[in-house]
Amino acid sequence: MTAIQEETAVEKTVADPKDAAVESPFKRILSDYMESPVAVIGAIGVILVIFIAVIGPFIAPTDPYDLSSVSFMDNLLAPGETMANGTVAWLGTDGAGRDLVSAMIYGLRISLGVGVGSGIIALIIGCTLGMIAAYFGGRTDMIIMRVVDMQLSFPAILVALILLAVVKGGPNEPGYFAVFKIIAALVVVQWAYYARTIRGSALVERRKEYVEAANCLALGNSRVVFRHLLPNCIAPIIVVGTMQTAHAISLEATLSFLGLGLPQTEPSLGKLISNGFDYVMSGKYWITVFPGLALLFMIVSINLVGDRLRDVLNPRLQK
Amino acid sequence: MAKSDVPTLEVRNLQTHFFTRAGEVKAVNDVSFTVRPGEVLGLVGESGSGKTVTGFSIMGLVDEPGRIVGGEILYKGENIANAPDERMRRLRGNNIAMIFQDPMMTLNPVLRVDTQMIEAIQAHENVSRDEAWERSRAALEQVGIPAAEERLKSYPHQFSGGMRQRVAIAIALLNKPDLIVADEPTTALDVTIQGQILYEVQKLCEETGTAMIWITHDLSVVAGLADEICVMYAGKVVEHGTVDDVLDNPTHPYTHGLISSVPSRNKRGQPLSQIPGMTPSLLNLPKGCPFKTRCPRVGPDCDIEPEITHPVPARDVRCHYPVAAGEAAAVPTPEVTA
Amino acid sequence: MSAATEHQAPTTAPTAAAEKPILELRHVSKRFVKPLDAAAKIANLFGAGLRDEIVHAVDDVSLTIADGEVVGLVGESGCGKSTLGRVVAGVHPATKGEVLFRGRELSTQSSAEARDTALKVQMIFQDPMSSLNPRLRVQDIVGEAPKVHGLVDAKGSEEYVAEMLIRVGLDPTYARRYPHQFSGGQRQRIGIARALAVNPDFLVCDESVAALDVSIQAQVLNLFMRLREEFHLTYLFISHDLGVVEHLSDRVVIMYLGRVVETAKTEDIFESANHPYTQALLAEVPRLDTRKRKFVPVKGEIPSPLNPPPGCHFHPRCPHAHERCRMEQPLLKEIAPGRFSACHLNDGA
Ligand SMILES: Nc1ncnc2c1ncn2[C@@H]1O[C@H](COP(=O)(O)OP(=O)(O)OP(=O)(O)O)[C@@H](O)[C@H]1O
Ligand SMILES: Nc1ncnc2c1ncn2[C@@H]1O[C@H](COP(=O)(O)OP(=O)(O)OP(=O)(O)O)[C@@H](O)[C@H]1O
Ligand code: SF4
Ligand code: SF4
Ligand SMILES: [Mg+2]
Ligand SMILES: [Mg+2]
Repeated sequence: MTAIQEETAVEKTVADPKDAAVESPFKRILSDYMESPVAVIGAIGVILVIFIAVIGPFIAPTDPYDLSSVSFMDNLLAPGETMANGTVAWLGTDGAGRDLVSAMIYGLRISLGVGVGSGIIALIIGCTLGMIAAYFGGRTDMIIMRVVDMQLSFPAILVALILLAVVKGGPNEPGYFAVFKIIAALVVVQWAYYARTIRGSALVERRKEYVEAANCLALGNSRVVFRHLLPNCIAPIIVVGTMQTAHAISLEATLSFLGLGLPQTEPSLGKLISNGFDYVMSGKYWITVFPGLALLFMIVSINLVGDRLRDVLNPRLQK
Repeated sequence: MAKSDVPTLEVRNLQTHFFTRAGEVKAVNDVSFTVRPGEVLGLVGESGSGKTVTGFSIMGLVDEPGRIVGGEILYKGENIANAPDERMRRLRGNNIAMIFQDPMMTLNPVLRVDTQMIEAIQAHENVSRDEAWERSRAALEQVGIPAAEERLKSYPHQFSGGMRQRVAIAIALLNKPDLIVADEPTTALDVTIQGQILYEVQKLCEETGTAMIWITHDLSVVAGLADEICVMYAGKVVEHGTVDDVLDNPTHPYTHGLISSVPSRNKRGQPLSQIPGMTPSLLNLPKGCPFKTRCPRVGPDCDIEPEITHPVPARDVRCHYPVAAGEAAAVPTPEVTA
Repeated sequence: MSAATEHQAPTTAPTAAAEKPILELRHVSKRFVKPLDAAAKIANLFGAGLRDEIVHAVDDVSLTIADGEVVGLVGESGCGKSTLGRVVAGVHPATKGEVLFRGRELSTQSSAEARDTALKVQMIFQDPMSSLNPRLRVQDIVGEAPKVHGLVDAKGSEEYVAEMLIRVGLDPTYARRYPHQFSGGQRQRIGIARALAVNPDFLVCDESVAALDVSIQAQVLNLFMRLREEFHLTYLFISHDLGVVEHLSDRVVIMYLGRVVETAKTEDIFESANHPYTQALLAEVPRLDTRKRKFVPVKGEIPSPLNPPPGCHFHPRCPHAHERCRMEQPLLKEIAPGRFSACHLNDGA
């Protein structure tokens, strides 16, 4: 046949058929994602929530933290009534006279901030430990994973309750301290999920030959772990990350509802719900219901996104 | 026997396409062949040329987004292309069996081997558990697994790869099928174990008149086993004839290239002749003959897709410029066959 | 293991010629231990007597490879070929024994020296899909190691990678692509370019053409042969395809269940195999010119590497097995110049 012509000729692939068909992985994932209308709605919801959280102070009709602008006269106004300073409280006001729209926007900021913040810290800690466990194996792996197992065998809410109860600040602890405390508690209950997830996928990746090749090329452990292994284990972490963020937000809301979360001065959505609960019986439903709906909306949106990401990032379900 | 006049399987102009987002993949695009009782048909070709999909189409196992869009699959005269699931399930148990490249496609990792084998028998035949067990034991012995009685109690992971493959083969043989589709079942095995499996398979075909389709890309295995050979390229059968004819005297340039690129004794240490370029993507085939971009004989007519011709008797070839007997494909090459 | 292991294999490892060896393995063993899980440990408290599962993947192998030689390593699936290859390439440390590269032991070297040696032995892998990091561009896959080890600076890297790609017959403009944009054969070339980029002397090719199409296989085999001459490379070529091994190698090493059972020049092995396992292997090699042949079944039980039979590992399948084979492990002995075989039949019984 066309004997040994390749030997010298550089292979200029004949009419390279792959060129046309190539999509960047990101584009592929994006277009896969778009195939589910429900997931697109979820994504819009998430974007909306993030948008509101970011520009919150600029769109909120009043500043609910500015005690001077909050008038006790306005307390428990029903939705649509006008407050003393002339602004319409579309969703009513709470027991302290704060405009509920503004309080919810600020509450959303806090809920999301606490959820995402604790998620990122837990992710960093969990991923580092999980990676180390998977890559080095043996005893290291065993010790780390035992701790993970222990952590995961307690209900998250219980662990968080205990932690918050133990590290109890005085009545006049500063607001930011309470925020740190709850973030810390949420990190403690979450990191193990990340550790377990990344260890699972790293164990699979570690057996692949490109890791052996990297070892063979004496690239050094930290390089192999962070440059080769880690980027290939990211997909499941994204999924767990979205789900865990939703979980953290609802956990924080639960804790706040139980009175162990954030202080009155920095009300998250959970705290608002809890505040309003006292008034439900007297027919002042709005203080609880609207923040509740906002929380529901946020969590459902994030979960829809997470569900879809799980599908599109799963290579077994790819076409 | 008069029966052997009816082919066990006749595939006519089979077309199986996958409808993916990137486009329509014509994985099997006009494939025809016939297998008679006791015969072995070797199906060879490049990776991605549609061998497995052909096998799956026969078994009725093509999944979304794939579909059989044309042609007929005649099992003893009955068209089973797109037959109802219920019918295919019965056929798969009793009459047609497939051996997969990965034995774990057949075996369930969480069930003991005996459970699986007895289930396989009882699902298709009304026999007692004891009888089914006895048949299972016999089947394991048949594929050369020693201490079959003990082995029946094991789980698949307790077997070595080669043994697992033999268990999968035993399961395929349980209901004495008329047709076996074997998809590269020995590719990963050492030649002595491969020999063992080929021995069982050969015995079965001879003794019970089972017809077989042996899918592989190893020409040498086909040489030793098959009666006829079908060479596939990009979803089409490009050459079809008896093993001796095709291997001794290939006429399609692809077959020719394939055969001369197999290392053989008298070419030791010399560069092998090779087919340049790479397998084209099915989504992006060149116009006309799909082999055009790699073919040394390409000529003006190759922009038109070649139809099947018979340049030599009893041979189907899809090429405008087939290689004549004794002629070299293009540049002179060393002897093709030893 | 029985008393058989007390016998020492010959200390002078079999060598092809009197040439200066590039690589020497001395009594190398590699064991994998699968520790008991918690359930089994608890069972043991009640006297179940379960023990860790130990696989002797490589069992006391001695081997010398001369500079510039191509050694084919053949054996059935699971006999320890890949494990041996990985020990040679330094991916796994040996459990026992020494690996000497150009006369220096790998483990006793200072780290800079150890690193240099490590780079001199590179590996080409089987799976063209999983042996390239899917998240990196070809430029980084090939160019990373030379940059990390200071063979080129950041500026020269692109040019260097282009040169490597040309060496393996790829278009240098491919450097900006990702692995999934290539065919199997092209990916295998990228893997070869990655190895060549650190100027190795020795390549361990583990089933490097097994996953490729027949038509592409020939391209890659030709590339291996061309590179060997251009860069004076030495190969340990692992394969279960005897046709490929015969085509490429100068010498063949046959392994069975972790042990080397025969080694000899390629011609000698294929013309007159000595060991009964080698004979069985060769009898079964499928060839294009054998048509409609009669296949023969394996006699006896195929043993598991977890639980290898005592004495000669091959005895349950060996047509010549006798009493001694069940008791005593046959040692690798020189039966003719440059030919070694481990079978009691050679003792003139
Ligand atoms: N589920 C699927 N979706 C889309 N395309 C598919 C699907 N399954 C198979 N194909 C395509 O069909 C073509 C034929 O595949 P097939 O598995 O039959 O090849 P093959 O000849 O068996 O190759 P190999 O030797 O690698 O097993 C390939 O190009 C493949 O990409
Ligand atoms: N990392 C590991 N942990 C435990 N056991 C292993 C490991 N790697 C290999 N083994 C075992 O060691 C033995 C030899 O394996 P190896 O991969 O070297 O075989 P091989 O000859 O390369 O086989 P193949 O031809 O199938 O690639 C096998 O029994 C295998 O199960
Ligand atoms: S039709 Fe033309 S391109 Fe196709 S195989 Fe024949 S000669 Fe080659
Ligand atoms: S030592 Fe005995 S069992 Fe082993 S190969 Fe030789 S004759 Fe056969
Ligand atoms: Mg296939
Ligand atoms: Mg291997």
